[in-house]
Order: sequence, then C-alpha cells, then structure tokens
Amino acid sequence: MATPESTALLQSVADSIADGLPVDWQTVEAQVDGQPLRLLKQLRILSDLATLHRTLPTSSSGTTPALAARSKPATVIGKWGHLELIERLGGGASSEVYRAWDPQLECEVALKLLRVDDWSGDPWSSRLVREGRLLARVNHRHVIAVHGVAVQDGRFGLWMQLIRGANLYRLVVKQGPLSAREASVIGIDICQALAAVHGAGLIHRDVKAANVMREDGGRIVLMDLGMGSEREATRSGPNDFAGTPLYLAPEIFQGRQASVRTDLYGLGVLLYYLVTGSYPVRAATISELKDAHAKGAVVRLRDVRADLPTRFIQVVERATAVDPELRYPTAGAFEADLVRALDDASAPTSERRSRVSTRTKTLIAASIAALLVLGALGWRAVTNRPDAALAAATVRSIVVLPLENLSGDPSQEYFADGLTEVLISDLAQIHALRVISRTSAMVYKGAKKPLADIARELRVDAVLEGSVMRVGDRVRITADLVDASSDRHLWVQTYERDLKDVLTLQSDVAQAMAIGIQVQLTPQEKASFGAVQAVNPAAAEAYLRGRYEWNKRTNDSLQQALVYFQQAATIDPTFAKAYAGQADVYNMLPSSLKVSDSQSSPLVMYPLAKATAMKALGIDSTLAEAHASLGYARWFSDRDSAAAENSFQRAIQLNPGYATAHQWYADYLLAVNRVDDSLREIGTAKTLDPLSNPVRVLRAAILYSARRYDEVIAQANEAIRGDPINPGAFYYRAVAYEQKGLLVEAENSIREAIRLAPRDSFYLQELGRVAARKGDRAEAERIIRELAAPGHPAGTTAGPIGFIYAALSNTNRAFAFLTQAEREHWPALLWARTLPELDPLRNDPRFADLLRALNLSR
Amino acid sequence: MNEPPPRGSVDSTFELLRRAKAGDSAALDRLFTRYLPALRRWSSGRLPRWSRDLLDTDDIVQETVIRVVKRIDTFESRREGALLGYLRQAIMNRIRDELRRSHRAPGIDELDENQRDRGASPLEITIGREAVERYETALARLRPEEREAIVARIELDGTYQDVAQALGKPSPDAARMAVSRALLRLAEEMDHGNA
Repeated sequence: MATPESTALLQSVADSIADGLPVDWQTVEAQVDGQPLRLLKQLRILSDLATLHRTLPTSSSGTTPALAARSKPATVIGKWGHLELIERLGGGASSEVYRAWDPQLECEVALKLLRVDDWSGDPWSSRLVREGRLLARVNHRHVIAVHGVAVQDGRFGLWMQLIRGANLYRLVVKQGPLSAREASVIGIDICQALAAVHGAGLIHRDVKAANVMREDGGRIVLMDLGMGSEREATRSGPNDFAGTPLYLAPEIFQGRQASVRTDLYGLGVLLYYLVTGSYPVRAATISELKDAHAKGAVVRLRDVRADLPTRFIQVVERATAVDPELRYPTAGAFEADLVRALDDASAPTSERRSRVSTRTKTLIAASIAALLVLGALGWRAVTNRPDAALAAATVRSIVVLPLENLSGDPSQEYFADGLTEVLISDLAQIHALRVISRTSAMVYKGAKKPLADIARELRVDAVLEGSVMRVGDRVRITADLVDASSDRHLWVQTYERDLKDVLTLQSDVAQAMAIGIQVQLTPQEKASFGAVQAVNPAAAEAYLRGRYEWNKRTNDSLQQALVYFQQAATIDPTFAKAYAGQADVYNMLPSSLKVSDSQSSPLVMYPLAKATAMKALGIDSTLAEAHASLGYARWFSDRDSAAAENSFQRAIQLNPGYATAHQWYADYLLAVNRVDDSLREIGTAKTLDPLSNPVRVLRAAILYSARRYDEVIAQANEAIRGDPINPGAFYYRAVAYEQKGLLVEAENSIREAIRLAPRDSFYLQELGRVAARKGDRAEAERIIRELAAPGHPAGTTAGPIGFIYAALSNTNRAFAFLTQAEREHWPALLWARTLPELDPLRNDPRFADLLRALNLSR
Repeated sequence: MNEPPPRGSVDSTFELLRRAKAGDSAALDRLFTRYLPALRRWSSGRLPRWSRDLLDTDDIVQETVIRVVKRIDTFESRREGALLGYLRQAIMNRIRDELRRSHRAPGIDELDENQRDRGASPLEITIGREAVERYETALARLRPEEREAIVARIELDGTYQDVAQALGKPSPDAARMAVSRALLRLAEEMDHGNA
C-alpha cells in the first residue's frame, strides 16, 4: 500500500537514479513493503541498467575518418558497372586501381580494372578473376577482403575493401628503415595473414613490401593475390617464375615449385627490406640475380645494421636461408620466433629514456595490430632477459613509474593508472622489497626526469617503467626494470592476457620480477600471488575506473568511485576488491564531505564501510586493503580499539608495503595516545610514500599532538611546498603557531586554509580560536554564530563550536557542544586524548566522562 | 570521460536530416558526429561479446543510421528525442537481425564451450536476460515522451541539458523531472510485467 512516505521515498530513489547517484538499497528497501517494495526492486534494476550505460566504454574508433568513406562522393570521374569512380589511385603492370563508390554497399571500395588490351579470350580465366576467387577463399583481418568480380562495359573489374594508408615500400622510402621492433610487429601480422592464405590451400607467391598496406590506424593488410595459386599447382618452369624477382627464393630460379617456404622466404626479404631499405641478394638484372643466388652472394643483415638485436637477425636469416629445409616450415613457427624477437627488439636505453619518443607514437598503431595478432595466441610472457644478475642481487627497493598508456586514447588513462596501482599493490606484498607507494610514484607521471634522479629522490635501487596497451578485451603490459646506478636493464618482460585476467597478470608480473631480481618470496607470498582470481572483464574495468576516481579524492570523484565499485560488485559478486573499494570510499566520505548530507553522515558511512570490508574479507580473507578499511571503520564506527588494531596489524602483515595501512594505523595509534608508536608508523608510511601529502600532513598532526610545534611547522611547510593548495597543511601550521603564541602567523595561515576550503568548519573554528586567544571575544562569538546558523554548509558543527568555547574558557558550553559532537560521531573527537586544544578541559571530571563515552578512557 | 551525448538544436537536426536525405554528405557527416558516439556506446551494451568478434559494432551503427536517414520519408515528430528513439530502435532491430544471422552461420554453434556465457550482452549480464525483456516490453508501453526521456538520459547518458533539448523541455530541471517521472512509470510497467 502506497503511503505519502513511500511515494516520497520512491520519488527520491528515482531522482537519485536519474542523477546517477548511488542508492543505499539495503536501507531504503527496509523502509517499505508491498507494492512500493516491488517498485523499488524494479528501480534497482533500472539503477543497474543506468550505471551500466554510464560506464560503457567509448568507441575506440574515430568518427570522422571512417565517415568520409561512408558518404557518397560529391563528384565522380566515371562509372564502371554499378560503381562510381572517384579517383585513380595507381596502376600496375596490367591493371589500374580506382577509389570508387559502391551505392549498394554504401561505402567506398578499391576497384582494380584490367586494361582492355590485357585480356583476350575467355575473361573468366584471367588473372584478375583468379585473384578475386583466391581472395574470396581467405577471410582474415590482415588479408584484403574482396567484394566481387565482374565484366562490365568491356572491362574486367575486381572490387574490394578500400585500405587507406601506405604500402610498406612507400613507408620505408618516405620514413627510412624501421626499427627491429617495428618490423617485428609488422612481420607478426603478415605471418598471421600468410597462415590464413596457406590455411586456405593457397600460396601467395608475391609477398613483398609493396603488397602490404599499413592502414591509417595501424592495421597491416596483405594485398594482391594476383600471382597466387593453389598449393598443388605451383610448379614453374626455369624461366617462368611468377613474383617479384628480389623476393624470390633461390630454388624458384632452379625451377622448383613455389611453396609455403618460398612465401616465408619472401617475408624474410620483406623484413630485411623494412630495416635496411635494401635486399639480401642484390642485382641489376634477373640473370645477375640468378648468378648471385647461385654464388650465395648474400649481404648479411648484421653488416648493414650493426645495431639490430641478434635474435631479430637470426629470425630474418633463418627465413631467408638458401636451403628451404632450414627455413620456417610454417607461418606460425615464423611468427612465434618473431614474438620472441619482439622483446629483444625493445628500444635501446637512449630511446627509452625519452618516455614519449616520437618513435613510440609511430609504434602505437603497429603495436595495436600486433596485440590483436598475439591475441590469437593466448597470453604469454613474450620474453625474459635475465641479464645483469649481479646488479639484480642488490635491488631491495623499487619505484613503479606510472605505466605509459599506449592506447593512443587519453580516456584510457584510468586503465594504465589503475594497473600501475594494482602492480604496486602486488609488489608491496613482498616483505623483502620496499616498494614506493602510488602517490609518490604518480608524481612522475609524464615527467622526463632521468631515472637516476627519480631513484635518488625516492631513495630506491631500481626503477620499473613500462607500458600498457589495451585493444578491446586484450591487454598487453611491458615492464622494464632498470638499475638506477648503472642504468642497466635488470629484467624486461612483456605479458598479454584477456581483460578478465588483468589482475592475475599484474600478480604474475610482480612474481616474475621478484624472481628475476632474486628476491626470495615467502611461501605465504607465493600462495598469495597464486590465489589471484580472474574476474569478469567489465567488473575489472569498472574497478579500475573506480580506483582512478578514488585516487582523485574529491567529493565528486569519491561518489563516482563508489558507483564504479558498486557496478563492479554487481557484475561480479565474487570480486572482493570491488567491496574493498566501496569500503575505502565509505571511510573517506565523512571526512571528505563537509556538506550537510544525511547520506554521508559518519553514522551511516562507517557502518557501510565495515559491512563492505567484511563482505570483501568473506570472499578473500587475504586482502590487505579490506583489513585496513575494516580497521578504520571499526575504530570510527564501533570505537573498538582492540578490533581496529587487530585489523590494521593484519593488513600490514599481509601487505607490509601498503602505505595507507601504516598511515591509518598511525592515526589510530595517535588517538589511543601511543604517540611514539604513531610516529614510527607514519615514518614507515613516509618511507614507502615519500611524496604523499596526506602522509606529510598526518605526520604534522602527530607532531602537533606530541607538542613538538617547531617540527610541526617544518613538516607543514614541507607539505605546503609539495602541494600549495592543501588546506590541511596550512591548518597544522596555524595551530602550531597558535600554541607557540604566534597569533598573527596563526591567523594568516588559517585564513589561507579557509580560502582553500571555505566550507570546512574545522578550519573556521581555528579562526575563532585564534580570535579568542587574541582576546577578540566578539569575533570568536561571531564565528560561533556563523557555525551554529541553521543550514550551515558544514553540517555537523557542534564539535568546532565546542573547540572555540574551550579557547574562550567557557567550559560549560564547551562540554555541552562536545557531548553533542560525541553523539553525532564527529570524527575529530576520537583524538581527544592528545589534542592540545582540549588541554584546558582535561582536569574537569566531565572530560573523563567524555573519554568514557568515546571509549578512550583507558 | 564519456563521449559527449547528442547536441545541437532541434531545427538544425531536422534541417541536417533533410539535407542528408537529399544526398548532402556533409550534412550526413554532421549527423554522424552528433549521434554516433552515444549510439555506439549504447550498442556495445547490447551486443554479446562473442558477436563482437564477428560483427563490427561501429559498422552496424553507422550503416543503420545511414539507412534510416535515407529511407525515412517523413518524420512527423519535431522532437529530437523521437529521432533518437527511432535510431535506437533501428539499431536494436539490426542487432537482432545480425545475431539471428550469426547464429545461423555454420560453425558458430561450435565456438567454444563457454558460448553460453559469451552469448549474453553486457546488459543481460548486468540485470539478467529476463529483466532485459521485461524492461524492453515496459519501455515500449510508455508514452513517447517518457520513452524518449529514458533513452536520452538513462541509455544514452545525455546531460539534462541534452535531455531538455531532446524532449523540447524549457530547462534542465524540467528534463530532470521528466526523467524521474518516467523512471517511476517504467518501474510500474516492469512490475506489471513481473506479475
């Protein structure tokens, strides 16, 4: 039965869904029954539906370039059959190629027309028809797709997919020779294409740079099967060889039949050409070429490009071996060796130092193509180069620099950043390794600082840098660990997986790196790495988006993070990290949202944090983040110090490198008046996260409670230098000045904090306290009135008012407001045992009552 | 973060539609620019993962929009939201056709042992196949303006400004109210469908 209350509730829920805000379903569903409850359940479905639509990935393809090929052209230069010719693209020995509009397919096509004088007799036996028919048998993204063949208007035509881009021959002429890596990436694609051709029972017979296109966007496409033939009908006479001479295998000149191995020889020559702009066997005429082959006059690749990686040279030399039996038997075998060569072909040190080199950008498209090819192979660690073992033995501290987003799409930054964080978190589990936390690592995002400088600033032995590339549901990660002092590679590896395995992948990277640098893993650490589960790809993606938003730590981003974490849990209810993420957000919202909002009240948020942390631990009891969140919530929600401490210690035991656990534990230790322990913990957090401003500000807070005011000012100044818009640092500098009696400096500093965070009642109360300390009672009372005004944007203000009354020596009022603040679970009151502001009240019996109420009396 | 939802004044949209129908490729391109990103995102939620290996989502959306623009003889409504709804339905029909065709294609039944899981679209994975069917039925039963509000805001993730424009509402606040009301109506219809 609908009541005005249930109607209002339903309306409010509908508003939240429309606004894209999270709804606490458990709470609202408990408030109604009957038809309103049924409607609520439908709204919940609609909320999930809306969330999904908000989080759908954007299309990876651009709009405009593709559209140009979809629109009918304004002008045509002629017609052939139903096709409208737009422009002539070029002409071969026996044909012309046009860009044309196909009104039936409503797209642009490439039309190859045989010249009239080039065919006689039965046109259907011509080469063009053969090419069309052969192409029609091969369906592969790296082989040109044919649309049809026909004779029209006395001309013979084959029309096919229009590829916009450049062929590899022109590419090398225009740009110069490619790197081994780029050539390998292209070669892998062509291997895939040839595997499809050979799998269809065909031999291409004309594999060459001019017959391979690199489409705008990077796709590699094998063209022109005009010379192609059935595998069983490929014998040539001694002077009847089809194909391009410089690419022909030596046995063809001896009259032997074309084969898979002759095609792969052609690909070997093509790779040689890509990295040199020349050919292994050179000649001016065909007879010279035959002689050169007969004499074995091969120009070794090493002699042309001394800088190429050995493995790449070995692949090319095997492909172009004179004896066909020594060559690769299949395109798949060729490809497998190219994949292995790919990592050896990683950019040399000088190239890698420039973290966004122009070459990297040109590689992106080609690498994406490689990724798709590799996708067919399943995941693999592409290579491992365990050199520099001596240096490796000395690595006991590292920083993981933000993985470079190679997708070419800035909107994928969240993905690279999220994976960086997961990798850091996984590595931090290793007790024998000190891993710099995310906040400090992210400072170097996009920075072009020398690695040695970064290592020096963070006091680490080595720097892990890398890249992440995602195409659809495939992810590829390259990680490269560099010794900071010698600039030597210690360990390089490339991994590739499905998106669903992305979290497992990070765990594998961490484990393999530890082994690579000879760090001993404990059995528990090994078990932990082995226990990482695959998750639904959409859930993994939502989780990474959530972490990206979470790390921004703004009110809006926290709300958005919550939506993503909830989405991840909805998609995959067994995904423990999704619940841990929610717990993190619920813990942060009360102190982040200074606005009056019942939804973000500590009384609501901390229990939610506790519930979601426990849910996460119910799925995975080894999740350090969830233990830390549970500790935080147990402290704030239940004020259960023993349980909170257990949770923090468990989190640190599971992941000693998790700086946030040390930070929260330090905060807790301060509240229970174990100041020395607190300083030790914050010291650990600072070592792990040296550039983190929350850690700096908390350290200032601890020093403040220790009454070490000069050190507070120094620490706050360091935090201000690191982040000049951090109001917290200005606040602690102000209270330290206040305690030192430097009231002008205190006022200036707190005014700066208020300027940065005008709605924060905590900063405003300090202004009131400074006024009180200056004897300006009227101003202090004005501020109290401001804080007490109904609808004050700061919401809960009893605590701040109580603090001002304490400075005004109005003990009765101070206790009245602080008691109210306790009932409202005002978070700051939990530090009552150590806060200098409350010193004037400590000898009053009511203070002991307050501590008892706060469960702080011990 | 998300691609911008459809923008542009009602008049210019219908003027573009008219010009595109008359063969003006620039107008067609502008319509594409306006609608394609949001429709592509939307359609990616409706295609099962396995089918995305076979079908190009972008192509489906693009070709359907071209077809709709060219074949639409008269468009009685002057609301942009109605056009969006029409395009959405056309793409939905096209996706269904493509899926039916793909299922008929030889070999698809043998894709792999996980085909059952892979056969679900992201939306079906999120709310369940039965709920998707109930949702679609209920959506069809809504009044046109309610349906357009749901499509523009909930499915295509438009801003309230966009929704106001699509529905011909005077302000974003009015659009917000319309969306909220439409959600309640939709929940009621879904509940009837559940009975």
